[in-house]
Amino acid sequence: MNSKFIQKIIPPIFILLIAMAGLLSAAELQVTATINSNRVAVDEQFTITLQVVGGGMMNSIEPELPNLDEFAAYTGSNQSSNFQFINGKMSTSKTITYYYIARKIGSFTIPPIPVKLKGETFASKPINIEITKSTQPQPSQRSNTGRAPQQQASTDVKDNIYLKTIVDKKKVFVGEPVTVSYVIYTALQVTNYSFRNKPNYGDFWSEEFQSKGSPQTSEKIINGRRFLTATLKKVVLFPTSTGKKSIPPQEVEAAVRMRERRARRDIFDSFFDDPFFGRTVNHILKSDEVELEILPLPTAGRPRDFSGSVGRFSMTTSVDQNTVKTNDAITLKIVIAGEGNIRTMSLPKPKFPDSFEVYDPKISEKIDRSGASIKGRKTYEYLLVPREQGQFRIDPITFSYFDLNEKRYKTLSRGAMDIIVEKGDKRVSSPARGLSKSEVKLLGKDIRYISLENETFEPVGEKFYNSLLFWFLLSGPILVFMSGIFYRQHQEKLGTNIAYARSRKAQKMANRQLKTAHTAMKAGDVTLFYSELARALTAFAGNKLNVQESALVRDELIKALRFRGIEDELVQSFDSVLQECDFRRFAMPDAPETAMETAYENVNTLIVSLEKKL
Amino acid sequence: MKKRLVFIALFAMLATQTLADEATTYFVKGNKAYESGDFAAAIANYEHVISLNEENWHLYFNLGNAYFRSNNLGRAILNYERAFKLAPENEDVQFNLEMAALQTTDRIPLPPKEAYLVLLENWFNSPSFSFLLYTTLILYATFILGWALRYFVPAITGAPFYQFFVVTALVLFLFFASIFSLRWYNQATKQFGVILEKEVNVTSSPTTGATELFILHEGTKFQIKEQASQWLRIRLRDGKTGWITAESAGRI
Repeated sequence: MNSKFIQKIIPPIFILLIAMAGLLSAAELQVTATINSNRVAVDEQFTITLQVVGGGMMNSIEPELPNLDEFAAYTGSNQSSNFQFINGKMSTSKTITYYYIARKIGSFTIPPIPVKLKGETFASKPINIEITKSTQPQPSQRSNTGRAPQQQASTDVKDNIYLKTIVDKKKVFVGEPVTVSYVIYTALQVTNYSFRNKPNYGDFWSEEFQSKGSPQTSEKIINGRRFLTATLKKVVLFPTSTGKKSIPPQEVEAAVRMRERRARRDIFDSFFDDPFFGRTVNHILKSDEVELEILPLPTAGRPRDFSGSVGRFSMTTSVDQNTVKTNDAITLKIVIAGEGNIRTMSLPKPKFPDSFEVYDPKISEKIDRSGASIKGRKTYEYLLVPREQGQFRIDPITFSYFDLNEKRYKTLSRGAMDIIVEKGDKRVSSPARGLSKSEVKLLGKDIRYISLENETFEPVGEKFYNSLLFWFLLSGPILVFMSGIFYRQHQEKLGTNIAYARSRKAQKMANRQLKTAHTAMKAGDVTLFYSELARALTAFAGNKLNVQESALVRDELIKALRFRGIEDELVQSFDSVLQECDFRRFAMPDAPETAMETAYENVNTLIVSLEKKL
Repeated sequence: MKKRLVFIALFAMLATQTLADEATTYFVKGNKAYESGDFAAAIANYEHVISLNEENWHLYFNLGNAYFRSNNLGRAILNYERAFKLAPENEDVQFNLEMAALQTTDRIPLPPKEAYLVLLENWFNSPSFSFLLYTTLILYATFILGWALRYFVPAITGAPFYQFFVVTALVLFLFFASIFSLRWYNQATKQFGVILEKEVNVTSSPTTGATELFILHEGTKFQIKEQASQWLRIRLRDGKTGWITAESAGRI
């Protein structure tokens, strides 16, 4: 219970404390004192401007008058107050201008001017002032030709405008970035500027920051004088070799608007003070040469794969797919991002499985020059084509660099990616044959083991498809099938076509009757012999010619034979054989055996001849 | 007379039986030798099987392995190719053939071919002979039976898809039969060989001292165009031709 209460109460108290601290800081004052010119002639007026900027009410502020009795006389003061809201915060400022007249020649220091607020004292910085004696010649100068004022002006310019080379460090390691800023300091009004040269940073790799629009100006008080400063150009240099190296100067041509010196008593003076009426003079500003000392990187603890990258980096690796088919491509992406010289950085080639075909990586870099330091990323895209199936491991990808913050070498390691390669369906692009010779030597893959299967042996060169059995198998069915079809067609004809059937039967029937006739002849039965002989012939002809039973008369048959185009000779012998049969059957019952034999032979030959013709 | 014929036939059968048994024995012996790492003995046993005029793809495959282990690349490839000829569909054979081919020195650049042509050729060459053969025979039988059916069961002609079935069987049969015949023709007419010697000079004519055209190294496959006594006229995949001595190469 108690602890819970404390827990509850602590955050509000904490917040309150912070708020109070904020109030306290708001009460703080910024006190700056400026002088219009550090070099003043005796009896000339100079002004000291005291600016007090703070968050609270400032009416009560009454700075102590700087006591400059030693060398100047106070002539009067001028006050102005201002307040504004910046980001919801009220800011008030009070500007007091003190007018003095220089009285004594020499170098003096204007002491800090203290400002008291709520018991606290804030003070400005001391200002140096040089009081010269050259006041008298002034009128004569003015009366001279216009050359003098210009000289005056140019010496004026030297003091009032200059270019400085500012480096953030002077002792750096090889590869460590050095930020070089070219800053213009001006107490004059610069209307325009341009770079006259591009310094040759021979021993450095340079990377220029991108400047957005016109350079940002800020006020700076140097030796009590108010200067406007602007960074015209910012370059990051990466040293590439050790030793003392200098940064060459940068030249800038600045257009400065000058005010003509006029008689102060001129009533139009204030009017012509208007910058509109000034004239513009171009001045060449040259920055100073800066020398840097470049140290070599320590050798202690340097990783073997270190390739000169200095800065701070992070690395990510990824593959687009972990499971792939042979001959399909995988993309391995390695991204190194960070601060440092991305451009000169190089990544050692990772080790890939031997059966992977590796193409040269696609390297892209993106450099961001807009921020406070050079940042960027370098992307390596490796195209890998696995040529064999299996499970493979891509070893971790390492990248070594010198960490500037910790002043030691660091090695990043990412990865150990497992890739499963499945067998692709393309066997054509006979994968490994495309590999180069050196890659082949690396292939630690082995041949597959012998086959232990005990299959029957066949005589060399003997193939089933060369054997007779094969050709029989091939031709057998079609032959059987064909003959089946012919047989069936024949059967069909017999069943449906009487003429065909009778014609096919004719020989058979004739043979049967001839046989009976033959036995009759042997038995000596002349009548039966001749009648059978005649019937065999007539029936044969009738069947062949498909003549009706009733029309089986000799004359009809002869007519039909003639009609079918049988030659006369054959028809004549057909007729004579039949006549002889009839004659023998009825008129001569006892015919000699020789006659019967001739008749039998005659009928036989006749049937054979008719069979051929019909 | 008849009895004598039967006796001869029986004897022949027995002889082939014992031959096959002997082949198996030596094959198993070779495998044992290979397992124990005695590749020379394995080679001797396997070669003995071949000398008995017996073969199958296992034998050539194992022999190829034994030669490969004995660093005889040319003979390894020769035997793998022989195994591949008998069993082109076998993955192990393909793999080892490819592995061995990787080690060869000669790279014969092929003239660029249209992708579909390569695919077609590949498709045409990938099925094994026996597969093509049996598919053809089955389709043939299907077609014949289907066609014959209409004569024995006339009602079938009215059945749906009957016509389609028979025509499909016929078309497929003709298709497979033509592929088979083409392959058969190719195999019967095209002879291939493999270089067996470490380095072979290919010359412009079949005589000693003829102009050397180019050099081939062991394991390179080529087509044998013709043979003239002890010389072979060879043709490489890229179209180069020349003569080599017959003993420097082996016929697949």
